[in-house]
Amino acid sequence: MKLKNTFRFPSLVLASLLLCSSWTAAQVTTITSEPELITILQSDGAAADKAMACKRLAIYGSEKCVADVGKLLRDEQLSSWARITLEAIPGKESSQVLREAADSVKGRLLIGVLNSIGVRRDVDSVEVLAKYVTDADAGVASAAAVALGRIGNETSTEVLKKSMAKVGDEVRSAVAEGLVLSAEASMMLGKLDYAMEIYDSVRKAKVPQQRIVEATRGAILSRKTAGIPLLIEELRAPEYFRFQLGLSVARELEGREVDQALASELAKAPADRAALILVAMADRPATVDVQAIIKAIAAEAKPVRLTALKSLGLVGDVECVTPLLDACKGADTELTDTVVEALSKISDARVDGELAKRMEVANGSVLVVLIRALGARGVPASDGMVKALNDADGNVRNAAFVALGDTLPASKLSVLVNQFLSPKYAADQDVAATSLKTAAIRMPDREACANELSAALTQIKKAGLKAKLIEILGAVGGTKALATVGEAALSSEEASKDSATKVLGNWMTIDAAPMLYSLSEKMPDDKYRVRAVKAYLRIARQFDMPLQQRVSMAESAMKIARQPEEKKLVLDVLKRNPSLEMLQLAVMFAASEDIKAEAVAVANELAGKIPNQPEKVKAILDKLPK
Amino acid sequence: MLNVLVRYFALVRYLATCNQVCGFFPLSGRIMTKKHLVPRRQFLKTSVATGAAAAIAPTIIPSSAIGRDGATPPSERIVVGGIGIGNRGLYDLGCFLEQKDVQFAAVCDVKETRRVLVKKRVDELYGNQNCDMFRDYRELLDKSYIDAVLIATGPNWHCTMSMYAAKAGKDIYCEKPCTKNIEQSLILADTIRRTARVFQVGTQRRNLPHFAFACYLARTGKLGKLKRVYAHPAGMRAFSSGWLPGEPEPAVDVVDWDTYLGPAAWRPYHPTWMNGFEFEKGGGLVGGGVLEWGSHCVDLCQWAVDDCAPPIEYNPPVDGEIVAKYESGVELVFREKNWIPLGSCPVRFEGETGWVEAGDSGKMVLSSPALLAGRKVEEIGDYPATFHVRDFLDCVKTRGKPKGNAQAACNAHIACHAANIALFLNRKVNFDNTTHSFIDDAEANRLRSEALREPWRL
Repeated sequence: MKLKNTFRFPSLVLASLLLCSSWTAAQVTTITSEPELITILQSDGAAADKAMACKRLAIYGSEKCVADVGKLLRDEQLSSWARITLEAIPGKESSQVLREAADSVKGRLLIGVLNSIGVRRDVDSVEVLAKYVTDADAGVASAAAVALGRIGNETSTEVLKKSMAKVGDEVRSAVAEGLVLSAEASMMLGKLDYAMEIYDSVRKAKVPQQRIVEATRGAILSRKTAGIPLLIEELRAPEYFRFQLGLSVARELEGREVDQALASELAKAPADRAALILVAMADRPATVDVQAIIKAIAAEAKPVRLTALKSLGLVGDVECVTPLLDACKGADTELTDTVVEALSKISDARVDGELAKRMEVANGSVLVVLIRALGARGVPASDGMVKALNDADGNVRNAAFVALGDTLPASKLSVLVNQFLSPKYAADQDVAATSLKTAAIRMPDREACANELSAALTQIKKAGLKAKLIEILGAVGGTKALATVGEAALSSEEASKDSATKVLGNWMTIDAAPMLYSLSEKMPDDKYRVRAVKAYLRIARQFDMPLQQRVSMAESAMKIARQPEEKKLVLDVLKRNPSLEMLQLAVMFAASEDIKAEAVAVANELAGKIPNQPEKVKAILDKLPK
Repeated sequence: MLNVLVRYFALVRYLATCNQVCGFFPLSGRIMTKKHLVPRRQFLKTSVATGAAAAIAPTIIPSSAIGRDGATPPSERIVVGGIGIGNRGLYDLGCFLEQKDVQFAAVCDVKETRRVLVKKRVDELYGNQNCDMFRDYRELLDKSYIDAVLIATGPNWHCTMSMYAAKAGKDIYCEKPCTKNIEQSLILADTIRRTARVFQVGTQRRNLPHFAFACYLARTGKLGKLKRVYAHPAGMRAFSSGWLPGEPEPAVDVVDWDTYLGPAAWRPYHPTWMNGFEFEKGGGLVGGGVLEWGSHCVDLCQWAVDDCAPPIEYNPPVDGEIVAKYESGVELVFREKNWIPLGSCPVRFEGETGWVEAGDSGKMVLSSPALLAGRKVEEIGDYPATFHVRDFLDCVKTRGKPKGNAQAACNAHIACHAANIALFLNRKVNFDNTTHSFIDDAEANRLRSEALREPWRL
């Protein structure tokens, strides 16, 4: 049970330390021996040491240390440390010491002692606390009241009840707090009637609004379903804070009767409250009255309608599909979007089949909603969905493209490839491209996907279309895509070269480096070659790789860098990675007259950043050209 | 600006057509003073950047119903006060100020420089001098015009301040870690329930979609039966708080040392302690990464296991790992080594048939693309903490539970505190979620809580 790094003082050493009081607080924090810690408390040592000893005794102390710790309760600096110990050590001794201290300290120290008695829930201290609950010092009286509440037995509760009429406004709030704590303790013990009585007494008292809120909450919960009328009263209250309380408790109170009451209240509530009641209803998924929410879809106020629709997304089931679809038959896009959102969120798995079945016979705006919802739910694409790509209605086709991008399986990717190559409607070209890209990047076998797309690339005549497909291949990534894009970079068509070099400039894996190096060697000296060089340097600068590989890339990069700007980017690779190897490279580059000055500067900068190897650094720097 | 005004008037017309919509959800429990009513024009200046936020915010109530469409009458605004607005607090403050239905009305700080800095920023934004300044948080909490508070003090104050705010009837957005020990975690959750307040801890990753999606996969069985969840709290260590030789205290108006010290045990002023981010972070055990980062990444693991009760078994660290075990048998691994290269705060969830990793880089890595089920990793990228604030504000209006609610925070923090105790004692500890105590372990149980300095209490 010892700490791994516990430092135990041999007694002799401890004795000598005591004599000269020279140990540090930090040393005390390693002691586990109670006698040694008590010795520190009994000494004339520094307050810091005694404070740390209290912390240690909180873990390792027993009733044996309590008397010495208790003496510190009268010390303004150490009282809080002493209470850390006394609150932690179980047993009657600690409580006794706190009770005794209550009679001998005042002000803040007394408040602290009373707080600790409360934390310990010391039933033997009720008498002491009762004495202070009417103290002239409001802080002391409040501490006593809350401590009595924490004890929460019938004796302490009666003290609090009686004191309610005797205390001033400031303390009355604390007495109410104590009573609410007591009532809660009674609730925990199943004494609901007693708890109810306490809550009701606080509700009638002249106490701050927040205490009324707490008591009313308890009054409702302690009555269980018999508290529903009180809950409704709060929901109808003119004061907004009471309505808010009703919304909170509506989520806590259990029972199907509560849902029925909320449904009834929803129908009667003014629009400004109805939407919030709906939200509370939806937060009771186990027993919620779904029919009442469905009814609210027809509410006059749009926010209520929207909230009802969204609520069905959370608590609805397959039975809600019809009312949801009925709700979006107008031209209101906000309503339609909300219906789609609701349909996509309903957790009932039967909704998938229901939506698919309806899609087969739907048309127009309803068909659009069904397709969007199926797509959002991730339901695997059906033949009907594929068929919708050729629908005469552009909105239907658009929705189908989006949905298929999200749901088309790998085995049917050719559907989108063909649409991309030759859409039935020219206006669909862009959405077909977006859909294909969406589908392609989520394909589980990206090499197979890249093969399919690469084959399609060979069939394309239009330059712009080729460029788009190259972009999609870039998004897919992988070995095949890289090879295809690399070939395109060397093509004779401007659009393909442009697209391919842009794609390679953003390639996300390190395996593009050899391809880029090769391209920069083969390409004519034009802007596409510059892009290839910069793309190579981007990988060397930014990607994670072993040092030796980066050194090798930097060395190679200088061979293909022709413009001063490119050479400076090579030097930047060195600067970002201080090491002896990069320093050597900088010295080597300094031999070239066109970048000598920059390379020397980089070498010197690197030398200052390489730690613990001054001799090796100096040896390399000595080779710098003068 | 013209566009904004055009949009505003269009919305007013639209709202006027909806039955009673202009009076939707007034927070009329308070009395606003004339001083705190920001002129509409100035208020609109602050509201421009929230369109995208509102579009993605995970609420079920339409934005038009809770006054986020640009036409937020004063009675529907949430009036917010800030307490302890330092570095992180300034970021949070920015998130609040972006929200068109928020009016930031008061700042409280024990440091004069910070009070002045925040007031300047807020007043400049609103074009007035109305932001109130307080040194004593009790004065701010007494103001009936404040609906909600942003608590971004050091961790020393988080829980205690939240208690006082809840008891004063304020809703609370509190930075993490929000408790110093196990007992505080339990009392926090109880108090928020008892007071019927809305509480959101600053675990903003609960509102980041790629983390949310990763947790969803784990929670809903998409990875098969869950076996292991990994959190990566950097810098796992635990040691006691301390006492340094005193130095002269600054004037109370410059730094109110007594209030700064607050619930922490007394010690003399020393400038070292003024780093509120570190001061008394873990109370008795100054929890390094276990608590600091754990309150984020362990919280995500808790979400992945469906916010169940915290683990019941915590082992001492072995080779940079603390392995804890849930009652279900799922392991929670606090890992310092083998960091997943996905930026800070990475998590990994392993099931019998698949796994997923996510981190602050905004990226996710999955065992199979099929897990995406039609979604694209790019779309699941990250977005700022504004949405966590938005989630809080929506719940202030609906009275629902935000994602980082007090009970979720309680469970995650208990897991961190219990792991810290295993680390501190350097041995296995077993936790009973029914009694919320360690089983047959007096030493560990004494570390469950710590007395607050007088006069503060929970």
